[in-house]
Amino acid sequence: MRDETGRPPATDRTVPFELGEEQRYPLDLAVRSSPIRSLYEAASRERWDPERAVSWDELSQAGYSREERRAAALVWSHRAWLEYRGIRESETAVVRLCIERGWGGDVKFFLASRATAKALATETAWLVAGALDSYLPDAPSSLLAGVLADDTARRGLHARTNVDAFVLSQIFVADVADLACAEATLERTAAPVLRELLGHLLRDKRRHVAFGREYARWRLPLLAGSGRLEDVAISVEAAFEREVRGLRCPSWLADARTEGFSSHLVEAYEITSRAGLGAVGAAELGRCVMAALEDVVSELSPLGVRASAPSPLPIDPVTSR
Amino acid sequence: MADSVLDEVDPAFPAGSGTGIPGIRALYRGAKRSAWDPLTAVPWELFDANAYSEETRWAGRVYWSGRAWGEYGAVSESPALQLRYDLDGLEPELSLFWALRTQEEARHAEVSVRMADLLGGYLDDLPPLVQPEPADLKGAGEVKDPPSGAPAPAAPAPAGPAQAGPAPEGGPPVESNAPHLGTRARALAPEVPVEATIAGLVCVAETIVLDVFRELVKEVVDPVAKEIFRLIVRDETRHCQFGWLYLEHRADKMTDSIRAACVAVMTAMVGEIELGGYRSPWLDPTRNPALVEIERRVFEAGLGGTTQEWEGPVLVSSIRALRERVARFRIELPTFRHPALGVI
Repeated sequence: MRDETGRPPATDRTVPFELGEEQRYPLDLAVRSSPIRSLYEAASRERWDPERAVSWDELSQAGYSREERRAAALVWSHRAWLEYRGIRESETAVVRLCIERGWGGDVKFFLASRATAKALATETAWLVAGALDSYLPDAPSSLLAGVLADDTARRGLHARTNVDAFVLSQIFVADVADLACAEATLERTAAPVLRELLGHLLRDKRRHVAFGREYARWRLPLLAGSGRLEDVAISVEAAFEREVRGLRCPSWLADARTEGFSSHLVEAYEITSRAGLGAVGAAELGRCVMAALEDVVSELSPLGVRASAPSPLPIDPVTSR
Repeated sequence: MADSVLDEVDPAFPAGSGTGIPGIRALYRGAKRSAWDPLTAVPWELFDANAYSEETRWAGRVYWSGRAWGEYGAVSESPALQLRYDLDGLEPELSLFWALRTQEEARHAEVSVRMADLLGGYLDDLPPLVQPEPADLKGAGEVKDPPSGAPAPAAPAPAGPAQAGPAPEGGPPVESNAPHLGTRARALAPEVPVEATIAGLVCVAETIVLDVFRELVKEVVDPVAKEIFRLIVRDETRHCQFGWLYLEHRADKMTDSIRAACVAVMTAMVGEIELGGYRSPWLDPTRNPALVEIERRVFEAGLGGTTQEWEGPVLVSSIRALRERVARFRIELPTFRHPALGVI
């Protein structure tokens, strides 16, 4: 199987994995992008600790029904799975960029801060799930597992992968979708403790999206005329595909209409949204993600990346029944 | 066996909620609470360039640039270990801690660059090292070129190429073309157990650095350099605790093969990397005598650096202590020998 560029994809295990060779010196640690350096410095200033940011007893003792607590714990467990993969994304990008030459220190330092933010976000989700009911460690018999296990590290580190394509697809697309959903979630969240936590998370997520934008503005003009913009477009569309397969929006999971975990997760989002415990309903979540992906298309197009937005999905088939 | 751990399939979910190794979860919590801002935590305004001669500023510039290279190595190589934790389905608190650790190492690199800048400018490579004559120095920011017609001396490191050698038994060869500890290669090599990589990187390399820096903080006089070392020591204390806690956590589960791999990696790290002068050039003085002199000048100025007379006993003590400590896990390290240090 070959990808659209005619090469075996990085995920093809019949072809040996190739890790590039690092040529470290001269070691450029100069400021190559002042906006990205500023974002990194902001991350150093805007430190927070989920354990200390809120009064967790308030959440544990709040008067929600058992059904609401269990549903919200499942939603926040899903959130933990998504945030945790963000650590892998960030560390993969750091390793890969350090193998490459010409990126200076800013991008690498920033991505290290993104890994930290993802660690804090994962911890937050664990704590919330545990405070409301209990954390669910996995999704039994669900297609979500296949969507989550997407060979992030292999794709990012493979020497054949265009590193700009990886950063803009794996990280920028995910961050734009993530921020859109988080902002909508905050609007629907009533629980004060959760609103406080979401505020902290949103500050980090806004910084991540700002990074992606600055990265695109800095790097994409350098790729003009090289053919690599096409690589970026292909990778961005692959990231869209991951979202559309239900990475973030459980009602898009292919098995969401059958009785099982995925439909249970969809229902959990509905219950959690109604209770104000940190979610939006499936239909609104779908609209957020779709709008976010269209925003990515709009932002990258003037920079030469002609990615096609995914076709609008039908009105959520699960919740419309 | 796969050629790379990246031939394995990604795990979809973290293996738990980060409470499987309480000691490491505690280190993660400590790291969150000890996080510092490089721009404000160091009293940069206290630096007085006029307190140092041009030669000393030059030496300091080379030294602190080398410090940045060393710290950068941790940013470049060791995040691969987080990927390995993930792919091996290990406890997620390892990944959470490691994410914060990577950022801490980035801070260490950043402040080292800033210190080099204060001393005249960060250097992105080891300059052709000729003993600087004061009259030849146009300013602290100048890099002196070798005399016309003379070849530039080869640039070994503090962060220069680790000497490629035969593969330590049980482990892959140290990367021959890269000036590194080989952490990235080991992390991605399925035949190298995680325990061995951590044992070498953390329980040897970082532990020795910590032991040296704990003493060095007492010697450093410059207030900016002193605070930088103090902050680094605080972070590195946690980094080292991570490694030892992890080996302790795994002690009962380590097979003879895993222990053998730990022995191989730790022995190579002590014998070839550390005693080979990767970190302290005086340990291999023939490689670059000018660098040895630079570190001495920096040490005598109270800006960092090292000398054989000062560091030798610290290093010997550190190696003996880690040998004793790791023996609790039935990992037996050999005797080491060094021309200047004798039998360790």
